[in-house]
Amino acid sequence: MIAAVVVIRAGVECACSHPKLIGNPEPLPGHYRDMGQPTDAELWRLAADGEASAFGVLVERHARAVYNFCFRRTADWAVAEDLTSIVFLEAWRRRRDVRLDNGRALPWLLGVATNVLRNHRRSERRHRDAVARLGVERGADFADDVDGRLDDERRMRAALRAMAKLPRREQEVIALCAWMGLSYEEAAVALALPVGTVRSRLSRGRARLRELSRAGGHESEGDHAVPVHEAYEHD
Amino acid sequence: MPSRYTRHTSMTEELFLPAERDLPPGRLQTRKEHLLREVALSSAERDRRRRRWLFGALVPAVLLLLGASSVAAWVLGRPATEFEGLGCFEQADVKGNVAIVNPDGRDPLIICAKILARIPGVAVDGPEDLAACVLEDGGAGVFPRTGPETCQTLGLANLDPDYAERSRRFVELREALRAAVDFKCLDEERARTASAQVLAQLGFTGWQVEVDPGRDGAPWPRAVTTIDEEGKAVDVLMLPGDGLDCEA
Repeated sequence: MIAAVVVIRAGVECACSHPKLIGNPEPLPGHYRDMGQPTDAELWRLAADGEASAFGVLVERHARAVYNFCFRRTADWAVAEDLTSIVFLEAWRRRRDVRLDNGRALPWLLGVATNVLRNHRRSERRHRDAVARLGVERGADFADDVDGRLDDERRMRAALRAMAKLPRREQEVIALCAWMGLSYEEAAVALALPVGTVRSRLSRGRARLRELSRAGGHESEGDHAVPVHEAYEHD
Repeated sequence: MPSRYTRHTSMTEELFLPAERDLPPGRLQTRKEHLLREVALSSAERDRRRRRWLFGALVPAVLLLLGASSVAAWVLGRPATEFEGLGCFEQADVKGNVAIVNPDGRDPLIICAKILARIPGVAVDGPEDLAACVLEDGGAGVFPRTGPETCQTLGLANLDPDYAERSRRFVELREALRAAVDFKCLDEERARTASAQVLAQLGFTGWQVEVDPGRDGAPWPRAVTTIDEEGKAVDVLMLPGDGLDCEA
């Protein structure tokens, strides 16, 4: 018996087009040029040549997106903060392995983050000393929104439980496209996969989550909550 | 005695994401400064290591190049490893419209012929008009036939002849795991044992059971399984209970 049929229309924008799901507020390539600011590609070239300050601008530009991506994959804000540092340390280590001609750095950074999350322990070991040297204290400045962050973590754990029912490769595509707003092409860059593979993994994951949501009911939960299920409804 | 695990609207909970947040105030700047200090310290050492690595990698790289043709041959001959979804494509184009269905053990050409025949404008009368290929992610894709080598034209391998039988076994395994393990009141050890028994009963020799105990050390009385066909493993994830009286 065929349990589910989902038709995906070619040429439709990625699930990421959901307005609530814009995970990366950065302007598109070219914007910075018009504003007299360097593009990601220009900064990356400088960073690859060892220019640490250019790397610093990239950190400022993309840390928020990387931080939120790591949170959405771990459901822990504190862990996400440390992972954000590890992602940028790893990006610096591999800065010469990537060439951004026109694109944004974010897809590649989220690809690095995906690898870091996939090999969490290995990445932690590799950068353990560096992270220890970072020695950033935390605590006091969380006080203002500690309740909200705890609620985020509880809600995110629930979302990850739903995601856990999918194979990891589908989870990764969904996290990049539907949760972080990458296009199919950008997700393909992040995961070093063909675009067609990204599309098929996303459609499979979407179909499975849709089945799960159908089985369990679906209600709105407030203005700040992003409905995961709707994230896949783009046709 | 009341259960520790009360029923809640699990799927409603599961289907919402929290909104994005900034790093805590001041933290971005602090992190950035530390990162810059770190990368400045490490740059010289990394450059030295890289040069040593490049030299040491020359011989392996040549060997890899020699093996590249074998890898290409493997890609075009590899079997399907993904049975959760079967793609029925409207055209012979991996980027075209596609219906994703669950394989059920039948010949994928028969499954897709039935679906594609219902779509206006798609000239498919029966399975003989279709070709079954292995997609790049290891799943199966069925395309309208464009000639004797439809899959090769798309850069894909032909679907292995035993796909239907393997997908039937996959469905059998999935159903058995659902019946024996998923959402049952099982602790980690029992979930592992039950999964292993299912594998043994169905003749999945050489397969492993991998249990993820959960993140924060709380008691996890329920389990849910996913099948990693490629890695020949059943992954068991322990979940908190949601209304099943696990203490009874």
